[in-house]
Amino acid sequence: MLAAISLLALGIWKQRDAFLSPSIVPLRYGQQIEPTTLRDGNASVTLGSGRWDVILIDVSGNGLQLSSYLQFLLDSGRYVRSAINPVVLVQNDTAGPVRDERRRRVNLPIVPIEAHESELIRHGFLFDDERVVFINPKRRVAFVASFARPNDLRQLFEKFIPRTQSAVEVRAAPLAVGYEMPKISLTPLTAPTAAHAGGPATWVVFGGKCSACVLSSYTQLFASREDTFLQHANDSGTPVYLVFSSLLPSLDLKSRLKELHVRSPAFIASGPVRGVESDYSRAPLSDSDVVVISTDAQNRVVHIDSFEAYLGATGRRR
Amino acid sequence: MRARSLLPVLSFVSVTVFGAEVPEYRATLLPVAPIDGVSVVRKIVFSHSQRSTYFLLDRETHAVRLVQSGGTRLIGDIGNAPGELYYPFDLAVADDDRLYIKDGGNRRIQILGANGHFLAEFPDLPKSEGIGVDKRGDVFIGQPATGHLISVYDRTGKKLAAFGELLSPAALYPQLKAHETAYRTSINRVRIAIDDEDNVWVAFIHAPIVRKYDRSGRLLAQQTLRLPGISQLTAAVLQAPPPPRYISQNFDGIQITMVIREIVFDRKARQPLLLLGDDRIVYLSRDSAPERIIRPEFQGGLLETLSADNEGTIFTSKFLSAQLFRVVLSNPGKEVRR
Repeated sequence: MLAAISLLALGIWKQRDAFLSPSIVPLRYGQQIEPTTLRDGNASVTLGSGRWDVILIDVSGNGLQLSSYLQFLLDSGRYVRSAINPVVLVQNDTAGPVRDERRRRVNLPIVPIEAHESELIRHGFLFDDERVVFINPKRRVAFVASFARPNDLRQLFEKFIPRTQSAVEVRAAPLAVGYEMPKISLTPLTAPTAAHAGGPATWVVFGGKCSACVLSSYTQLFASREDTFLQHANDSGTPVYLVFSSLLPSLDLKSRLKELHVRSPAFIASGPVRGVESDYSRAPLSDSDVVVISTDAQNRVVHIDSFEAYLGATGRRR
Repeated sequence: MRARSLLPVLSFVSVTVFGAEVPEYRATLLPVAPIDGVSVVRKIVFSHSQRSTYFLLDRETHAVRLVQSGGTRLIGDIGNAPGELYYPFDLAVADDDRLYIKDGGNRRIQILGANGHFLAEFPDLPKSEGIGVDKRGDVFIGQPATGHLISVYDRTGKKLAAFGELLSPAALYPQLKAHETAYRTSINRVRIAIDDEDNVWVAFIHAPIVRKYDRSGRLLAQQTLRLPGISQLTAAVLQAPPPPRYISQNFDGIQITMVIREIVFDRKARQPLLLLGDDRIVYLSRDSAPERIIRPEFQGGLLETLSADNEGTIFTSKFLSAQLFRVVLSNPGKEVRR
């Protein structure tokens, strides 16, 4: 009996913030925020800073692509950097590949939620399934959503954040036959080496417009036709490389490629795939989500086609 | 007791059990001049009151574009505020051009004036799919999680009624016998069209079934589509990941392939139209029997939307694309012989 009462008391004590807090509701649009400083050793970050707080909530690595794109927007020089206070709040930030990947790709203040949970709750920062929060300089919630893609983040920046230059983007030219294959910064997903050594190759580039399409249909379609690709590659003596847009979720891709037993080396782009997607919005420059590019020994494009057209063409060749 | 109570209902319901031969025609897609700034067309709805005027729901730019012969007007912008949108997923337009928008990311239904000014909103809970509006301005949304297929709200968000019996997942797909509860909401996701007499047409997204209700919720007809190729579509419903030529959606935490992607009402022909999960378009009779099949022939992509203007011209767009197309019969008098 005594043990049961002690356990109950301990439970209540652990949940004391929830009982004491006057408003236990998730953050909502228009809500006034009390400035809250979270300290981590010598570092500290303030929410409700009086600048534009851009808060991403990453649960178990699911927000990695969004954090990477936030990093890109901040580094792009398009926005007044001093007007922005970016913070990534991470839940379940345990040691492992997810944390390693985040630290490698994101150079922003990262705060583990668990270490500051009671403080966050006490100041009204309750994240139910919220993943993106913008707080304006008047410390009011300007935007909150449970889901966002990089393109949404870009639109929110365009809407809210002061710009340093015109937002008009010069449309990049799509890659065409005869062009030099642009240099792409690549990180191996399943490939044994970090970079392609150059020379003739077939590149299958998966755009980031629809991550669900890539993760479900396109990877499956590639896996079902990989033998055709490899046979063609073998006939022509050119290796096949898979390149995934930086907007795609690398950890999900890794497990998907493993599940489908894809043998071709796969990479994820660290930045824009020039000539295939636009630098800034990463919008595809062609109608196709997946393009196949063949390069020669001088690294020039000798063939470029949509995935579907390429498969049709190789089918006819066989 | 249960059988007795069903009898009066069944006497009003026409149920097609055996399939009849349905003529099929080929069609081509003619591109419509691109609309500046549109990124991904999710829905096309023609104005009932103004000629050559339509509304495009763009889920990528979180906005609606009013397209008229004189130009376009942007309605909405990314955001949470009244009049702003976040992942708008569906749109219905009333006879007075008021817009009823399922504002998915903001978990609400918003009602905007034809020029975009905010009129009203109410929470979209439980999460709906499918939206239609009748002549009174009452809104019909698919809310199977309530225990009924359709909920009816007035313009202020006051719930007026709910109707429609849910389908049993296992009755449609026997392999779901052990997962009845998990699939109950997903399998009962629908698209809605309201006809010129305010009848409510309901197409099940994940089953080849169409129902027709009157505005009070009385079931008038139910049709199980028995067309060539339907068995391939239903075979793909639970395939994960879906076959490459199909579109699947994950609305309730389960990825399911679509059998019917859209239902709309053609006011000129006075017939409902379906867009099937294999890109075919089916004209239904007023009692919901398939009458004609249109098979658009095109390269690349999948069709996602369907609409008919006041002259009966059919429009469509491809999945994840900004391009609109007019659907034109390749040889109007020539039926495809199988």
